[in-house]
Order: sequence, then C-alpha cells, then structure tokens
Amino acid sequence: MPPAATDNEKQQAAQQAVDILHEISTILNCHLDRRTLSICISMIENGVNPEALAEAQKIDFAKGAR
Amino acid sequence: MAYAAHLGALTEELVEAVASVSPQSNSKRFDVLKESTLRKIRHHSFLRTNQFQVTNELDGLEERFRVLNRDGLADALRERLDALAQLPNNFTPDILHFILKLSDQPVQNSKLRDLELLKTPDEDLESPLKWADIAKEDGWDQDRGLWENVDFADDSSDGEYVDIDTKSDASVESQDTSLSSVEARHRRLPTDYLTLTHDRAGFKTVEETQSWRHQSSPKSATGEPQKITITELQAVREVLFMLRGLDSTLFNKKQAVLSPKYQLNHTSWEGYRSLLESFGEAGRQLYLLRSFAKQLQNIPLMQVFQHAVETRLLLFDTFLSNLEAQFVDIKQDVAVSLVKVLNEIKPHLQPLSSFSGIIQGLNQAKYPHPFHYLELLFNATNIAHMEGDENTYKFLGTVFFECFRVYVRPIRLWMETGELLEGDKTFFISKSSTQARMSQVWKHQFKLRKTTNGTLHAPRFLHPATNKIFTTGKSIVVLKHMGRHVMTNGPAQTQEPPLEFDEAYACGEGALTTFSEIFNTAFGNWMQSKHHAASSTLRQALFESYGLWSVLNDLEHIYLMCNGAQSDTFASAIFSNFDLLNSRWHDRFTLTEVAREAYANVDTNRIAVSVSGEHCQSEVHEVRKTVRKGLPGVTLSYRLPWPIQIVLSDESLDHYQAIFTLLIQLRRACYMLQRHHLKIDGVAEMSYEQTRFYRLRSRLLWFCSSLQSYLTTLVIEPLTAELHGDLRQAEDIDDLAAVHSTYAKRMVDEACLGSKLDPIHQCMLDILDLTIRLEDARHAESERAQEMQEISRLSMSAASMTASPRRPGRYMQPSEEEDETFLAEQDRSVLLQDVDVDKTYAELLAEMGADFDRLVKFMCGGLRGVARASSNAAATKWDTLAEMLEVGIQEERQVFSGQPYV
Repeated sequence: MPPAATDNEKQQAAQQAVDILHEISTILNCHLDRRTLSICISMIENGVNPEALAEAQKIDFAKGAR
Repeated sequence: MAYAAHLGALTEELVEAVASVSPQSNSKRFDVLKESTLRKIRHHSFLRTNQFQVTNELDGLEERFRVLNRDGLADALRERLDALAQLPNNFTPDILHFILKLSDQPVQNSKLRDLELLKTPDEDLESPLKWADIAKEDGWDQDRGLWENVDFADDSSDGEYVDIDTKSDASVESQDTSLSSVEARHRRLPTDYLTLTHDRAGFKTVEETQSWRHQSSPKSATGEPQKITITELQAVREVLFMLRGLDSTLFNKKQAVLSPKYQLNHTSWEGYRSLLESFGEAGRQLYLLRSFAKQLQNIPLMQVFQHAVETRLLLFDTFLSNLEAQFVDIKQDVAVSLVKVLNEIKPHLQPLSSFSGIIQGLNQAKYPHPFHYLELLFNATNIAHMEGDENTYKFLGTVFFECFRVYVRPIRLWMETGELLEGDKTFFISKSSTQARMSQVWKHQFKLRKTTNGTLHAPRFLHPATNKIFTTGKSIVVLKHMGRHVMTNGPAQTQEPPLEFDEAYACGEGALTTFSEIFNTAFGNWMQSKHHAASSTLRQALFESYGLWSVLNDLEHIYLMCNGAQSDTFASAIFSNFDLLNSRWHDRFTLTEVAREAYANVDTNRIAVSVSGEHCQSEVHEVRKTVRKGLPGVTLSYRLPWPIQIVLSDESLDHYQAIFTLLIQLRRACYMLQRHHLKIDGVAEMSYEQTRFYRLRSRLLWFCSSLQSYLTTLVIEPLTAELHGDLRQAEDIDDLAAVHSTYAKRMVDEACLGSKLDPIHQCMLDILDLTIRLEDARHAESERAQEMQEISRLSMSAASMTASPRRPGRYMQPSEEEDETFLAEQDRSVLLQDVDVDKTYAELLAEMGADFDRLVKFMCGGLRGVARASSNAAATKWDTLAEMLEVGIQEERQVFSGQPYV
C-alpha cells in the first residue's frame, strides 16, 4: 500500500525533524522538553506567530514557576 | 471554528506542559493561563518570520560558539542544521525563529552533555567512567606518590590519566552524539580510540604484585634492616626488563648495578648476588649497544654499523619477548628459574658482548677514523674464529661484510670510473688540487692519503690491496685522458662477485681457513673483476696504439747503439769535427740533422740532439784530447708520446743517456786507435819505438774491444731480452714502469756507471784517454821525424841541386800511411803543443804502458773487490768483466815479463 508507506515515511520524517529541532533547542538552551516542543511546532504549523508564541510561553513558564 | 478549537486544545496542552498546571488540579489558574496565552497568540504586533534573518542569526551563533572555543557545540549545531535542511518543511524557519527567541544565553549555558540526555532510553545513560572518578571512589586520588614511584607505568597509565582529565569534554563527546551525517565535519582524535576498562580486580592484582617495590626494609629483632624477599618470578621479570633496557627496581639503569635491598626467598645472598651479577654484566654490555644505537651518526659508514647494531638488538629483544611470553601467557607448565633463563640467553648474549667490546674499543680510541670499527670488527672476527666460537664468528663475519659493503662503495666508484666522491675524507685516495700535466697524471694527480704518523689512511686489513685499487682507478683516469674509456657495461650490469660472508665462508676450505684468508679471497676476487678490465685495456692501448714496442726499439737503436753502422755514422761525424778542431762542433741543428740522417729507420722527427752548456764552452782542442769533455755533453733526446712517458720515466731515460755516453766514449777510443792503418806486411824489422807503439796499441785495442763486447753481449743484450719478456708478462702500468726502470737501473749498474763504481768508471775513462794520448804521441813523433827528414833533404838538396823535387809537406814512413782527413796543416801546432816535449817518444810510450798496466790492474782489483763486497745483482757481471780483463794482465806477465818498458 503505497499511500500507507508514504504516510509512514512522512511520520518518520516529521519525527526526525522534531528530534533534530529538540536537539537544536537543547543546544540553544531553550529549556524545552520534547512534548512542549511538539506542541509548539504544531501550533506554528497552524499559523501561530512564532515570536508571539515564544512570548506567551515565557510568560506561562514564569507564571507556572511562580 | 475547527481552527479555534484545535488551537485551543493545543494551547491547553501547552499550558499544561509548561506551567505544570492541569484543569483538574487548579482549573481556575489553568483557565487564566490558557486565556492569557490565547490572547497573546492571537493579538500580537509581531511581523512574519524573515527566514534569511533566522539563517543569519544561527550562523552568527555558530560563529560565536567557535570564537569562544566551543567547537563541540558549534559542530553539533551545524550538524543539526544541515540535517534539518534535508527534511523539507515550510515552517522550519518559523520553528527555528521560535527556538531562537526562547534561547537562553546558549554560549554561556549550553552543555553538550544535555544532548546526551536526549538519547533514547535503550542507550547507556550512565556517565562515562573516568580515572578521576575511579580515583575519587577508591580514595587514591590524593595519593600522588603511588604514580610517581611505579616506574614501569611512567609512559602509559599516567599519560592516559592526564589526557583524559585535561581533554575538553566537548571534543570527546561530540563524536558520540554524531549522526550518520554524510558530511564528515568533525575530526577524529587519538582519544576517540581509547577503550576504558573497568577491570578493577585486575588492577588490584597488579597493585599487589608490584607492592614489593615500595616496601620498606623489615627490621630484625635487633633492629638491623633485613632484605626484602622477592619471588623468583619477580626476579626473572626484573632481569628481563633490565636486559631490554627498561627501568627495573633490582638494577640501576646505566650501570646495571644490583640493588642490595632485595633477595630471593629461597637462596643465599651470595648465590643470588653472583647469579644476578652475571645478568648485570650482560646488561652493562647491552646498555653500551643501546646507547650507541641512539647516537646520531652522519657518516654512512657509521650509519651502517649502527643499523647492524640496531637490527641485532631488535632480534635479541624479540627473543627476550618470546622468553617473557612463556611466563606471562602460560600455555604449558613452565619452571621459573633464573639459571634456566641465563642459560637460554647466553648463546644470544655471546655475539652481542663481542659487539659491545668493539664499541668500547671505538669509544676508547682518540679521534678514531670512521673505519676504525671495521678494523676492530675484523680483529674480533679473527679472534672468534681462532677461539673456535662458531656462533660469534659467523655473527661477526656477517656484520663485517655488511658494513664493508658500504666501505667498498667509493672503492667501486674509483675502480670503475676513476672518480672520487667530493669531500670524502674517509677514502684513502685523494686528488691533488692542481691539474697535473698529462704525463704526470699517473704519478702526481692522485695520492694515497696518509695519516700524520705516515700510515695509510685505510683499514689495516686493506693495506695489501690498496696499491691495486689505486692503480686501477688511475688506469681508468689515463684511459679517459686517452679518450679510450668506454663504459661498455654500466656499474649495474657489471658482474661482480658478491661480498657476502656466507658466500665467502662457503668458498673457504672448511673451518680451518682463517677469516683474513676468506676475506682476502673474497675481496681479491671482487677486485680482480674490476682491475683486470681496466689494466688490460690500458696495457693494450700502450702496446698497440702508442707503440711501446717500437718506442723501445727506437731507444735501443739510438741510445744503446744496437745498429753499429748507424751509430758509427753519427759518432764519426762528431769525431771528425773534433779532429778538424771545428769550434762549431756542438751546433745542435747540425748534430740533429746528422742524427736524423744516421738513424733513418726510427721516427726521426722525434730525435733532437743538443750539447749541454758547460761542454759547449770547452775549447775544441781540449775536447779533442779527452773523452771526458764534450762527449758527455752530447744529449740525445727522443720525444715520447705522453702515455709512454708514464712507463718510461725521465729517470730511466737519464740512465739510457749515461749508457749512450759511455758507448760513444768507447767508440771514440776505438776510432782513435783504428784510424791509423797498419802497413807492416813485408817490413823486415821495426824500430824499438815502433814495437812499443804497436804493443801498446794492440793492448788498448784489446781493452776497448773487451769492454765493448762486455757491454753489448753481457749487459745490454741479455737485459734487453729479459726486459721484453718481463714487459709481456707485466699486468699493469706500474708493473711496466717498474720493469723498465729496473732494467735501466741494472744496465747502468752493470756498465759500472753507478755511483759506487765511480772510481772504476773514472779508471775506464783514463784508459780510453790513453788511446788519444798514444795517437797524439805517435803523431808528434811522425811530425818530428818528418821535420828531420825535411832538414836532411834540404841539406841534401843543397848539396845536389839536381835531385828531383818531392811532394812537400808530408813525411811517410814506409809502414805508415797518414789519414788524409787529418788536420789541416795550420792547426797541427795546436795539437802538438800539449805533447810533453821534454820526453822522448820511447819514454812517453813506456809511461803510457805503465799507466795502462796500473789502470787495468786497479780496475780488475776494484771490480773483484766490489763484486765480493756487494750484494748487488750486477756483482757477477763485474766479476766476469774483471776476469776478462785479468786475462790481459796474465798474458802480459807471461809474454813480456822480462821486458820492462823503460
């Protein structure tokens, strides 16, 4: 089933992309875990402005920590 | 609407993940956070992401990492970015932008180790084991002494410890995190290959086994220090370490002196010490070899020796390793015994110890020549052979030939091409700085290098062969000058016997052949292959192209007067000039012309005649009166081609000239005696004076012909025949030259012209002078008689005017006829003025007879005496000459005993 295989590949590629992005975020010391990052990526892919998201997240983080 | 719902769900998740607040635990707070977040996301004033700016920012970040020496991070980042670029996604720049916004001072705070933590759980998450950690755990991290004192670990564990401790973690671990990226951007370091083991038990064992080294000496009950006991295995290990030139506790490194602190647990101290000291002795010798092998050598000859030493040491080390392996990697039961080890090592040590003896000799020599070790090696090999130590003998012999092959290189170059290496001070042939004349090239262009004390600058064992080597090279040089040296076969193609010990040894007749003989044979064969071609070519060139035979033939004609008729033509021309009192007798052009006419069969263009200065200046009537003036000055020169001059030296040409002078003097005497023709047939009786005259004349003639026949048949002819034979057999140019100069020297000696026989030579010349005196006296007497006759004739004619006129000017005795070519009338007075006018003719004749007797006796006696006293080869010839002359004296006694001259 080629379409299934393609989906699988896509999923794998997405997985790989997330892995890499997670590593980059670690290198840049972003204090993001994999789940958070995945959520953020989904949101950005849904058209959320990355800068706005970052701001919101910083605030959330700050508030959560409080 | 679906979008809003989806975003809402995501926001919830985000808040839950980030703020760790769930709707269940704190719904109010959760809602507040969610709302505020949603608001922030929806209502903002940010621009869209500029993907180029993002790329720039990331590049800038990477660069910053590198600038701040965080290459590991930079590499990791670059790797990820590159990998990400492979996965096409429209939102990648946005996501990266988001990450950049969230980054929190990555340059200062990021840690590569964090990446490690991201790995999947199945990977080993345990932090890498480090020596530092082990040290901390075991509590010896503070104990530096542990490391310092264990010598054997100097260059291994310590190094690792330091390496790992100081290496930047970043670079070590950057590899572990690497992805299978196509682009290999990171470097591999030696430390990447380290395998860290965790064999703690093994480590403990090592520590325990080595602990004896650091024990302090136990004290006896009385407080005296006692020796630390060690096991035989430990001793064996120490011994093997020491022999391999490594540090050991039992021996100090340099002198291999035994440490008195230790003792085997089951032997007496004396037994232990003597056993270990025999190892120590071997260690000292090996240390010499090892330190020699480490020295820097510039001279190839030394380098090859050093290489030989290194190779032998390596073999020995391999043997030691194998021996050690028996104890370390035990495959079968092994008895640990120092004595056994010693016995096993001994046969290998023996050759090496003779080696170290050589190096010791080399070190002791003051300013040794580079080849000095070859001499030592040669001697040591000889000694080993004489001692019957087959093993050492073969070992040293092989090394000797190995090293000698390098020494032979300049010899080969010299013998094959006649060239010397520029600036080579080790070779025993040197070139003079000035360019010699062609004919001098053989003698003076090259020299054997001598040391300050006069010995040849070559290994002693080569001395017998040096001349041959020298000659061969010179032959090549001369051939090159002749334009005849063709490298028919290049050095590579030349078949030369190999200089191998095994080959040479195989050629020897069993074990009894001495090494020097084996060497001489091998080297002789090697040399013969080079020597033969060069010398035979040169010899051939001299004989065939430069006509050595014809030159010798010419010399025999010119100087040795082998053709009497030709020599007579030349000599008579000179003599008649004397007798004519021609003051220009010495004109060299005339003389040369006469010589060229006389010696028509030789290459006349080469002949030139001259008269040396002092003889030119003598008055001609003086010259006429004696053979000592004028004639010795007549110098014949024969221009030789330059290659022939190598063989026929100037010195031997002088000898030829001396013989020529003697022969021409003899010829002059004969000439004086013979130009007066006898006419005594039918004369009934002669006057007393006439009898005297004829007797003396015949004796002088006998003397001259005896001398002549002695010189020609006993001296010149046999020697010349011998010369021809010897020249045919001579092998090289030096032989040819030697044969010829011996020939010339012998000829001069046998002709009594040597310096020792000078009185006899002078006596001989006195006798030859007598012939001139006799002729002059006779001539004076005939003049006087003629005058008397004239006076009586005039008185007669005064009495009788009718007498018929006679031919004027000449008086002829019936038995005598004057030579028409004799002097012109006007010069006779010059001749006669020297004749002693006070003495009568008879008196003069008597005096001359007495002189002759005295001189001949003196000559005989002298020759006999010299022949007896001398060991010269010519002595027998002198004896023969004396015998020939004594015959005359004896006859004289028998026949004329009753008739004194007076």
